[in-house]
Amino acid sequence: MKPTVKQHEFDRQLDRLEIRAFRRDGDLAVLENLYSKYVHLVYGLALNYLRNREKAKSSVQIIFEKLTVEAVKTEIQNLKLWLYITTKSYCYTELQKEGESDLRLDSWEAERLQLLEKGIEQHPLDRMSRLTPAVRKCIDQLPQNEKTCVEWFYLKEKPFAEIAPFIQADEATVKQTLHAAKTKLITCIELEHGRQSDE
Amino acid sequence: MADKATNNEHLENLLAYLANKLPSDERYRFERESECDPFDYEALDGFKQLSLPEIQKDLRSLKLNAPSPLPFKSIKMAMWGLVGVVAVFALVFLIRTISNRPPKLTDNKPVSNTISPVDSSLFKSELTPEEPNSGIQNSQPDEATTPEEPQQVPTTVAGSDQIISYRGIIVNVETKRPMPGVEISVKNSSRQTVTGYDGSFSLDLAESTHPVFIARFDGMEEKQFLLKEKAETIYISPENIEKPADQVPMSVRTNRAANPEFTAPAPSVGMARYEEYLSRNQKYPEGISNPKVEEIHINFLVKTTGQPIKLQVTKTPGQAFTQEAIRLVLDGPKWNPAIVNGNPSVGDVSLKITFVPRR
Repeated sequence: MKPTVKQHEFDRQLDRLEIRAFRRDGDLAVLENLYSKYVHLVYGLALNYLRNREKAKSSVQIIFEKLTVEAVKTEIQNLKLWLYITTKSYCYTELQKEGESDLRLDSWEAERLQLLEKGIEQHPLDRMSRLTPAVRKCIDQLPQNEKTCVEWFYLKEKPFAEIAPFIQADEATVKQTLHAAKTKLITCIELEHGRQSDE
Repeated sequence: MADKATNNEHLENLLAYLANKLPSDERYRFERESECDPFDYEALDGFKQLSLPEIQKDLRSLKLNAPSPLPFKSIKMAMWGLVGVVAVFALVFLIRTISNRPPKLTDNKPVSNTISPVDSSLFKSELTPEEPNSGIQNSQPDEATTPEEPQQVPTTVAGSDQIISYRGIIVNVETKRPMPGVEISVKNSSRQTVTGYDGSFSLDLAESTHPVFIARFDGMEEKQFLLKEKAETIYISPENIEKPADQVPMSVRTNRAANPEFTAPAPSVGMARYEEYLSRNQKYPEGISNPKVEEIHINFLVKTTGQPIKLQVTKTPGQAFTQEAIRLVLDGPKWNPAIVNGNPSVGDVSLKITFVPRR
């Protein structure tokens, strides 16, 4: 059940090879082909923040244009991450231009800097193959709903839809609750692990 | 299970997920993998705002390979697309070669001064024991070429410019062994191929272009050579002189080390699940008079894209088993290619499939 970290690393390497091939031959078709692998994610992300189908579609084009410029300038090492950061930044500036705001983007600038520096850091729960007592202790401290979501998702390995009835909510709420719980857990797990290493 | 990879596995999974078509465990796996990457789960949130038909329509308008109403049905379409693209490339190539270099009908033999067969007798004794005395120039008509490759009949196209099937075998000069996975490209052209696991390759090219071939392999010296129409042996030797950095020709060579680190190709789903796939999805051939447990040995190459190619059955109880084994491998889960020095490359796989009769 563990997500295949190796697979992701492998995808990254393939992307790197393609980017190099593009930089060597300047063949836009190579880049287009590569982009088509992620274009649905770019579209989905833009849709998530801009909440407008037409705007999301045009951002797909704009991000590709940015990619063609950037790929010539520098050798992009992690294309997926680059696309994520660029698309989200683009959404952020678009929303600002229109004087709108999205609470989820409030901390984006800080997040972006962190991503550029460290890449995507996986949550301890996603990283661990089994739960340590410290993590267990943290989970036990969560409010009931959040505890249910974490336990059923990470321990009993149930999809969101099957967890929903237990907290009397829909799938989207399960996901949100899970994310809220995960955010809380980071601090708790760091503290607990810190305490352990002190002892 | 047998969601044979079109070029966008994630998109297919996503659409199947949104359409509620995934079984519980795969649904969970998709969600779990999405949890690991904010790009994945935030995009997923975005899609949740729309209905499935809206998403499909939008993705199509982005000129994507978006599967229409039923996911997993687009494989054929993708195949036809691929065929189309290949055809267009072939056409462009043909036009270019014809317009750039007018056909020279008189000169039909490229000068082969760059081929320097070293110790050819040794090689011959290994690969063509039937013809121990034949010289390298006229040796290996057929026996050393790939057995699974049909002979390319030279065809005449466009103003008597002959398309010739150039064939060769790449051999390591030190070990005298054929080398699989060597990248063969054509100078001043985008055409390229990779040698099979018997070291052979073939490329159909217009004769008038007088192609100069380049063999590249990590850790070996780059070799330029010419070919006649007959299969020839090309020796390449290990690199020993450090090349200046600006000559290092891209990808595969950048992390060159004295002892290349090598990871063999492996099923993307893991060997255990792959074997489970093989046993669960196999159809024991019908009409076998005495059904018993049969074994079949199959060798193939895994391309850098994870696609198994050049399947060759080495031991089989019969044609029906061969066909079923090939179907299983081709329809099966993707493979992770071999990793040489941190870079994906072509690698070969030997697989044993056990057929158990159903009662």
